[in-house]
Amino acid sequence: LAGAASFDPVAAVFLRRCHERCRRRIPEPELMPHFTATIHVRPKGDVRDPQGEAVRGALRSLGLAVSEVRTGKEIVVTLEAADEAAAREAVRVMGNELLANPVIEDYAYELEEGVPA
Amino acid sequence: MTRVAILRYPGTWSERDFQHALSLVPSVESDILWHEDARLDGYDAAVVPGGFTYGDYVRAGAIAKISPATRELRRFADAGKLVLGSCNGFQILCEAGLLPGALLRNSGLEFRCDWVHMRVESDRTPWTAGLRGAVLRMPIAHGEGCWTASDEMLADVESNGQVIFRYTDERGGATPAANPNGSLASVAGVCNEGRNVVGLMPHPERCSEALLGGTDGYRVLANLAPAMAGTAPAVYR
Repeated sequence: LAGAASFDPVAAVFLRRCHERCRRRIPEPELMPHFTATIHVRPKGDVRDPQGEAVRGALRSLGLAVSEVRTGKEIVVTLEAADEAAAREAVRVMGNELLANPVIEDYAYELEEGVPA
Repeated sequence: MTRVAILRYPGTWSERDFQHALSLVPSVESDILWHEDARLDGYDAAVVPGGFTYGDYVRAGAIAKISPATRELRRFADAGKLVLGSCNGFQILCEAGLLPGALLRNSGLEFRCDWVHMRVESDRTPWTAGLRGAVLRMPIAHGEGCWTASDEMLADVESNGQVIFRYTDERGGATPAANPNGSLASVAGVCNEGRNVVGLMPHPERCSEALLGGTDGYRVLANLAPAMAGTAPAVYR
């Protein structure tokens, strides 16, 4: 293909994109242990949770004495890290930078060594 | 010529509407830039349009904020250049911390696609110069437009005059019935402390010519020309 790329502009573009993709990819870690983080994201205590309110209404209509429902989400991440401290640091970056918005949400997580069963 | 960069992310859908609406404003030209290689040098203003970037996964606007365009936007905003975010663009700017607050699911859990009224609360932004007190009619189309903030943040935003648009009825009354999504204090749009970054849930680009049922969006976008020509009162500084 590299030979073809020297005279075929389509192959040249294809090859250049492949190179770009490879360059962007994070290198595979070598023999680092795997960790599984289970991250729970929940609306902060004083933030309205309209989904929780709708679920509360539905559960009460089943005849259950439900007084409050808060909804959130659970995100399970498998990652490689040098050790537990490094894995915890990575999970904190995930929580602070993307998975939770500190204006409206809190998060908590559990970390286990190994991959999910 | 005033040059405007319109950012396009995967899932942006209002960039061409914005380009068309901006083409109606005299001495303004715009380019649509792909977010991964957006370079804002040489532009006077940037627009972050509406859409459903990255499928609204995680939270609306959350994944888009990881884009390299966010760093570029922050640099651009810090340099005092003009930024406008509408709908998903507003959500992205809040997620990125360029605007205060966050946008939650609409309180009725309903996607609202409707025309609303909002009152211009402050003319101390380049986008709203001369519009203070005006009641504008604009379309909305969103499921996560319920603006919220902590009590302290709301108090700061209100006392700094950073609430720029508030949902009202057609006479300018901020009643609960006129609030389409349960936004705290009926907030429809806010600005940053520097007052050069403005975000709002409604769509000015969809009401910029009479054929589309309204021209109030044009009144906001048309402020670009005087803001750039230096003929607008520089009250937002």
